[in-house]
Amino acid sequence: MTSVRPEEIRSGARPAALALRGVAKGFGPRGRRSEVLAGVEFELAPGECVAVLGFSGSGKTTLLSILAGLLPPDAGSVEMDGAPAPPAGPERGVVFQSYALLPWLTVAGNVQLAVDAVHPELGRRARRARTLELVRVVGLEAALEKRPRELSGGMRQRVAVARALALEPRILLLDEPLGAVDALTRSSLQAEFARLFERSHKSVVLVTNDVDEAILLADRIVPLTPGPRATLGASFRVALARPRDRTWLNRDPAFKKLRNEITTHLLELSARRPGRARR
Amino acid sequence: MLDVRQLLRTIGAPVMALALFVALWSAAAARIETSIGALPGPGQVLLAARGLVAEHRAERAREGEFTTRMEVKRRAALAAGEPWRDRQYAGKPTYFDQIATSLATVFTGFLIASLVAVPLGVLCGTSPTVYAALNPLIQLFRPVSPLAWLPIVMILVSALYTSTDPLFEKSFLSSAITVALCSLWPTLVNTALGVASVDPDHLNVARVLRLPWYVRVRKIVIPSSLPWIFTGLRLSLGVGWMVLIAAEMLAQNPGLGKFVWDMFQNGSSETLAQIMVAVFTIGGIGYALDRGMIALQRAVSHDVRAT
Amino acid sequence: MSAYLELFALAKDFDGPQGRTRVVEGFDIALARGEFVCLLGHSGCGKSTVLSMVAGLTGISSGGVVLDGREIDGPGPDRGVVFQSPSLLPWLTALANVRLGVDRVFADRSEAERRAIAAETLERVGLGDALDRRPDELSQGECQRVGIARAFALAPKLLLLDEPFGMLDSLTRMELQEVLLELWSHDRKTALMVTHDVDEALYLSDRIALMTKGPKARIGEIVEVGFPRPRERSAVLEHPDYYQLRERLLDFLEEQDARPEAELVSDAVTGLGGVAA
Repeated sequence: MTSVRPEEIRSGARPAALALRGVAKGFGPRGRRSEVLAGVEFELAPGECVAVLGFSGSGKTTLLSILAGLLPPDAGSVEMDGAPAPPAGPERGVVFQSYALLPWLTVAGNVQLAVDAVHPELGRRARRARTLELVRVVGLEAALEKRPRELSGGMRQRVAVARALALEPRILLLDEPLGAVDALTRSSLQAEFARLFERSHKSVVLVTNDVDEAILLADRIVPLTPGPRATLGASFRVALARPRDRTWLNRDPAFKKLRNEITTHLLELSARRPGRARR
Repeated sequence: MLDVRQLLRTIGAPVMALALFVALWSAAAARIETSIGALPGPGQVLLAARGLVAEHRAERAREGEFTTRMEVKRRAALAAGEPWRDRQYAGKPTYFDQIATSLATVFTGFLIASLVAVPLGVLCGTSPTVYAALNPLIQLFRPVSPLAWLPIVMILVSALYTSTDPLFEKSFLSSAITVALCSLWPTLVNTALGVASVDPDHLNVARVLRLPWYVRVRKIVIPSSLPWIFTGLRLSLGVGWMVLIAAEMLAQNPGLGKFVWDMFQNGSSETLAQIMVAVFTIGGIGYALDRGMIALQRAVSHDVRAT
Repeated sequence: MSAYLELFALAKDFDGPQGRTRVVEGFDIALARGEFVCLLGHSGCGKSTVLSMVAGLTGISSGGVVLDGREIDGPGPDRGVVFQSPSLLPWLTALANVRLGVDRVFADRSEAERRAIAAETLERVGLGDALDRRPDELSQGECQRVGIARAFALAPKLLLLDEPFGMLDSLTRMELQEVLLELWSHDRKTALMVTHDVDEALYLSDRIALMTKGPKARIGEIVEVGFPRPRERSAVLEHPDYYQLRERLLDFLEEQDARPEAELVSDAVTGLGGVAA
């Protein structure tokens, strides 16, 4: 992978593909306001895949929405390539946790919506061809004319990915992409995602609560401290060779060490969570 | 074993209830004496219904005769080179004509209401400002009875609709507009609710795609709120049908309402039976309209959970 | 080691539109008093059906379940069940939700005692400061803590846990595993838990029963988990056997998944190495 090391960014050699500077965000009216995020610093190098690992309800989705430009931060700024980020748009493709497929459209229709939006200049046939190509990439050509309710969780997920890829984004933002998928489908989809990311050289931010998923996919794992006022902690570099195979990883001492380190670290974070009277 | 029990419940129970109703009705009818004779029982009502059908057939037959007679005369006149003016058959409307008029009126009113309510609802649902502006007016006018609207509508129609060769009867227009005014609200409120409750993730999809607003409304907002809109339309049609009968009675617009009113003015035991036929007809048509709307609603609804 | 809970030749038929299907067949296992056993298998393999039969919530087609020398017949408070979704009554506080069962089981105790039992159990699951909150004011994880407290407060002979953390995210799941383990170590109730999470099974159980894919699901293999108790997460993760065991379980699951359904019957007959205890 053509990943840029953070040192290069810091030295100013290349600007971060996406960055957050001192971002804070809260919800609710004055007085009963809950501060979800506070003082968030984040940098995504071009071509890098970063996993943000956090508990549910700790502000992961808020963080991703801010990265996508769907939610304005209360304080701080979002930067793309060193300049203030434009409003949400196709250059930042989002795969939503709920998939957000339109239930009244078929698989092809859902993907076509994105293709039509990004390529208004192409003819009908060319756009249709592009749609078919994308559906094929995620292996759903047999379900082309099916509607979301006829698909399994894993298949819906693939449609959502195909739609995100249709935007031809430089940055892919994934919100718990495999959260709603059962365990087995998850592992096969994770492997597929891993291959897809490796091939496409996109910069990826992946928000997840699954340590294994993070290790399998990411170059770097950043834990999100439990909210309120969640913030990003020190990151763990995942220096495991690719392609990463689940079974094979299981025997890799480096994998075991990293997995144990991250797991223990997260459980320590949770034990320090405020308002939790344990024991 | 289980199937038999289920069959008994789904078919047996309603049949039993119906039989009980008819029995109670017959028993009551035999005992109640009104100012215009005994309360008609089920048998008399059935007879009255047959009478209305027979009357309709006879009237149609007369109309057929009249047309053939006119045709003969017209040919004769043409052959003789005399001038000829077409004459309309001027028979009185039968019960079935009244039903047709009522249906035409209710659908016209319903159509007007839908054409106003759906776009307005979409506007209310997408713009909090529009919603804030219109909400007090909606809340104010929604509970107004059709009987209060009707005189205003009738006066306005007389004042503003002064064509010499009117396409519609004034009474028809008054009834239809009153129906529209009363059946507007369920569709308006439901559409606004449906649009306001579009999955925010779906709207985010639109933002990431940078869809222009009209594409967003057409591709995401409308399809997503369609089940809500249809629920509103169904309620509206139900309200419209209820309002119509009252409106027709007062506006003297031909239709089932006028039929009931005329029969009431007639005042004989037989007409009381005919009014009861009208009650059953009104109920039956209302039920059929509702089932039709439910079928439509099913056809457009999508599994919201499966997104 | 004498059996405290014994499931013998347990089978379950379901009548579907395509006729009768045997979901579970010839299911045998015996648990010693104070033992924690996990049933591990794919979703839909029938493991919840087994648990539900032990709980007395689903009828048994053939075979039987004996608990503490008595054959079970219908549900009862001697078996505390924790479901995947805690199904708390939304209009009751956490305390009142736990009290519901406590008041029935400890009807002979005083009001103050019953309140103390419920409050103390909630405290032990880390909700000491949330007694008066209603379910909508609690997170999903906290709701499940109430669900666990509700089962433990009744001091049952047997704990039945049906994927209790299945709907939680993996980090919250780990937290709750700790809560459960700590509560359990307190008086070591015999426990039977259904899960599809390999790490969860390894962290909690003394033995893991691996279930073959349904229909006609049964136990394919039983794995002993010898990590010393009391268990500490990091110590368990660093135990030299941990990843070996983990791989064995994952391999079994993957094999089950790859297996076409026709093969399953013959497989179940020959077994896959381990012998049901």
